[in-house]
Amino acid sequence: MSGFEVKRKDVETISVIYLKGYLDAHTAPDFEKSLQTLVDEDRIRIVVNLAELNYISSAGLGVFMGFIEDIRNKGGDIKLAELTEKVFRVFDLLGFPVLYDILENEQDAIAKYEEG
Amino acid sequence: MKIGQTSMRTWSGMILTIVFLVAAALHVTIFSLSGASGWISKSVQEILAFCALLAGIIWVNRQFCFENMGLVQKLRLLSGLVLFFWGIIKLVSGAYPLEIYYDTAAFGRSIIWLALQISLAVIVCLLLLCILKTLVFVQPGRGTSRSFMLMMIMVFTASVSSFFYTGSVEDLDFGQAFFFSGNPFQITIQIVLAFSALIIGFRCKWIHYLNKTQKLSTTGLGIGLMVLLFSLIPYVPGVAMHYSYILCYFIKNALLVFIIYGNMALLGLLLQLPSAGLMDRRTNDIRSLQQISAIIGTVYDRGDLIKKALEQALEILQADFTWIDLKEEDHYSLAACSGIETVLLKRLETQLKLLRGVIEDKDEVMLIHDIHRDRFFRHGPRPYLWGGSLLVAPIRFKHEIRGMMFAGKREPFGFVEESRGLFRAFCNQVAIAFENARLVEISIEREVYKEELRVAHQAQMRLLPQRTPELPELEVSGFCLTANDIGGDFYDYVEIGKHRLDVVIGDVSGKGAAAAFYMAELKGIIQSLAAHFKSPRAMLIQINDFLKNHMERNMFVTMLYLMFDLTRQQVLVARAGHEPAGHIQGNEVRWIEKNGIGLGLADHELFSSSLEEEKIPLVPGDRFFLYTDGLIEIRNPEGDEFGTGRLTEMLQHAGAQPVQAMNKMIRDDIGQFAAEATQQDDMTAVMIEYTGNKHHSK
Repeated sequence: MSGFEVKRKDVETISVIYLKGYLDAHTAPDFEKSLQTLVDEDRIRIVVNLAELNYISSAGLGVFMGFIEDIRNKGGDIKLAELTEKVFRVFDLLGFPVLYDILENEQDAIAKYEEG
Repeated sequence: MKIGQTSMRTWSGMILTIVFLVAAALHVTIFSLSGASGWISKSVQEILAFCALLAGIIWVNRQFCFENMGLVQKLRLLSGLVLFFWGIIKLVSGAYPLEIYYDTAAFGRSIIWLALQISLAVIVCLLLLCILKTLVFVQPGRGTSRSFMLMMIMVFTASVSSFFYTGSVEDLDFGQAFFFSGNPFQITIQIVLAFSALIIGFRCKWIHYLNKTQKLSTTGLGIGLMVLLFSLIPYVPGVAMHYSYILCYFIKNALLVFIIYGNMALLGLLLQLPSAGLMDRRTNDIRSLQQISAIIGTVYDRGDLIKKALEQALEILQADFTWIDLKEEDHYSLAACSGIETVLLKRLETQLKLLRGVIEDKDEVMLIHDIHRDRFFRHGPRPYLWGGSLLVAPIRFKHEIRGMMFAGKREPFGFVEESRGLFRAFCNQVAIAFENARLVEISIEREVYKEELRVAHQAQMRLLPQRTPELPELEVSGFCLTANDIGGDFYDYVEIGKHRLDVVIGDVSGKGAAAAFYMAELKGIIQSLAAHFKSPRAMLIQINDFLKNHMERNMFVTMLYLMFDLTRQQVLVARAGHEPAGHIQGNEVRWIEKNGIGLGLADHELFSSSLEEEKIPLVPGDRFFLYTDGLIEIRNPEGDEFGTGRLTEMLQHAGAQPVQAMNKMIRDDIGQFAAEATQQDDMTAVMIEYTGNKHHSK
């Protein structure tokens, strides 16, 4: 299978994480690590850009769930942006739109933080 | 085949011996009848001697009669025979001085004894040649066989050529010059003979097989034997010459061969004596190492292995004490010791730690000649019974140090420099044995683990419905194909009375043991609660409450709950984050995509507020298809997913076949699609058909 990549960009107090490739049980720890780093740095206003994510498994979805409670308790959030149709279907089926802010593009997600 | 060859050889040897003896007997008879006079009798006698000798020489060339004898025994036998030979010749020459030749009557009287003794001497010579051959053929080279053959031919030719000696006996010089006497032809042959014996003399490999003491004793013995043989030179011709030229010359030529070979061997022995001790030690070292690998290689238990290693170290190095420290995560701890107290080693720990550090850096065997003067131990504590010399070597496998081995003697300078090499090789053997033991342990563990997985898989498979429900108006069929030994997919049926059937399909996120536990738990919850709930939605909310409290945060369960109510002829459907159920009517497929979050993801309020339920009235012929994501996510070798599109299409064109047949078709189609690609995830599906009352009518 094709690889997996995590990149990060900081915009003022907001951090954007770019996921690329396949997020499954094997690659989930990479994503987990990068989220943990953000939490450790106290950068808890997070946007995850999924434009280049081809596949997400239940283990990948689990990573979001593992962090969201702590981050929200600290006053932060994880917002999802730029999901492909296929990935959106997975999130949608699972009911993520109820649990997370899912936005059309990265800018909207960043703007949403700035609003509230 | 081999046995046949051996017996052939024995037989030919026996026949030749008989020929030889018969010829010798005839020889003696003729001699005693006709006396020494007469040209014809002389010629007949020489011809018989010729035959006997030819037979004897062929026999020697063919026979390896002392093949199975030990080297030392051979040398002993050789010495005995030489001594015997010397005795005979001495006896002959003493009993029959040369003057006897001139007294025909006296000569005639003693002729039988003379003949017997000469024959005996010839036989002894042949036996000696035979032993010589086995010595020469220790580690034979390419030309060994040829050289030996040449030498034997020369012995024979030189002996036979004496037949043509024309001069009188009195003319012979009985000194050393006798060895190269006769006409130019005879002399040439004798020189060639001496030369070939010299070549054979270089074949002394047997010397390597003697240890130091044996070399010493053989040298002494050899010198003695050489003196004896040399002393015989003037006596050999003597009376024997009158008896038979050929046999006399044969004895003489054999003597020449023995002297040349004997001297060469002595030279070889003398040259090797200075290094004999070292050679011995090397041989011993190699033998010890072989012994270690033989012993250690068969021990797979770590504890036994350490014990054996200590025993062997004491024996091989003749050490007084030894111990092994094993390394685990940069920390050394004493594994076992012998000949030394644990308490004592504990007191020396600080010094030993420094020592181990140095050895790790240098990676070589350290030899401390005197512990009390050594830089590591000079200033440390001096416990009672501590001192002498010490050898330390790392036990390393590939590039990893697994531990360290110590061996010591009570007296300073107890080890020689060569012990380093031996100890290093020894420790390498120990390291290999450790690695073997470790691998064996791992493979046993792996087997046990595999077996446990198999048991877990079996247990999990038993959690799936063991029989299909038999309701008059419903036909049900389901399957679950796991990708790993323990998967996260499950489905279940709950029959409540004759008119209600709950069908559940679910997927626990992740796989393995944790997923299996939740699966077992969910089955229990569903089976026990189903009768108390009248709607799938209420059921799912209850399950979510239960899971949310104690499930790990990054885990969740998706579930699809269908409640068939045959009294009301309806089905209630609720979906908690799961792939939607398909409602098939004829060739029309509708996915029931009601809202609902996965179980364990949201708290009670959020979960229940977003969970919807759909009520569908049942029409005979209605089918419902439930599946897990593994089914649509399976890929073909090109990497394309099966996808919902293909699934919908397949269901549309399935026709009105029974549910079992339809499930089989789905499995076949997916199998065909995936071809050789491996299944990544579990695949589960359930198909339900509402047949209405038609079964009643049947």
